[in-house]
Amino acid sequence: MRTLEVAGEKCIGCRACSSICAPLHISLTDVGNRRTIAFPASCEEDCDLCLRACPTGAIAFGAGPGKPLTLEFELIPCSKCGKPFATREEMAFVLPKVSKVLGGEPDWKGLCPECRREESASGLRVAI
Amino acid sequence: MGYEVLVRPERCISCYACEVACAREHGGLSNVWVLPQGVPILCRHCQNAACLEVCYTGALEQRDGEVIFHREKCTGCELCLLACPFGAIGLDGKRAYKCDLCSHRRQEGLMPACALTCPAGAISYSCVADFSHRKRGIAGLSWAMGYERRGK
Repeated sequence: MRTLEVAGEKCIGCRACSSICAPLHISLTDVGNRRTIAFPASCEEDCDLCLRACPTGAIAFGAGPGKPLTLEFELIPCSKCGKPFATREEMAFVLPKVSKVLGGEPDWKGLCPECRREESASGLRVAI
Repeated sequence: MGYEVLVRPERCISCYACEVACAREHGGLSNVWVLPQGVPILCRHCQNAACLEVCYTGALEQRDGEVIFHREKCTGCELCLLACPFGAIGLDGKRAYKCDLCSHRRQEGLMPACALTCPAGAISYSCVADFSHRKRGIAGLSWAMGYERRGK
């Protein structure tokens, strides 16, 4: 039996594994401000897409008895519209990389993608 | 000099023609978003692209001043959405999508659909030198005609 070994402390709660899993063994549900990712105990498919898709290398395969794992994440709300849009861990993963490229912590870090669109549009309107 | 999609928000009349044209070219999904303020938002193909930095599978790639998206390499992690300062990347179910500057049209020698469609001239497909030349001309003309500033 091939078990799925997920390092919960490495997982940032992104959508990679649940999106890439074609037979939908890994499920992701967003309810309110909570994201739940459920991993099965084992997976017999001849496939390692989730392992390769994981940005932090949190997924590994092992042998022996495993048990299903459910990880819970808190979604942080957008500072403008209040809609929960990303997990704290996702933003902690993305922001250092973004800051490196942009040369400093961005001021839009608390905004959801829709509100960023809105803000950049308003910014352009002010500029003209 | 390279051609780019350049936007003059002061000319936008919020008619959503670019959104419709883009959706038609991209299977019903528009990569341009017209905001109620009257500004079309689309991928700016940044030189220092934040989305490129977070993409770990090579689904986003920079080539000839363009940020190119390879759908087949996308895992659907949504990290690029969270990295884009302009919210110019969308999520189509389980994969990201973004402006490709109508690569299929440009292969045939046509310009991107949004720039071709825009009736107000808010989106244009030109090189920066031509674009600023035209803007200088308009600024000079409006000064000569006694307008203080256009676009208010």
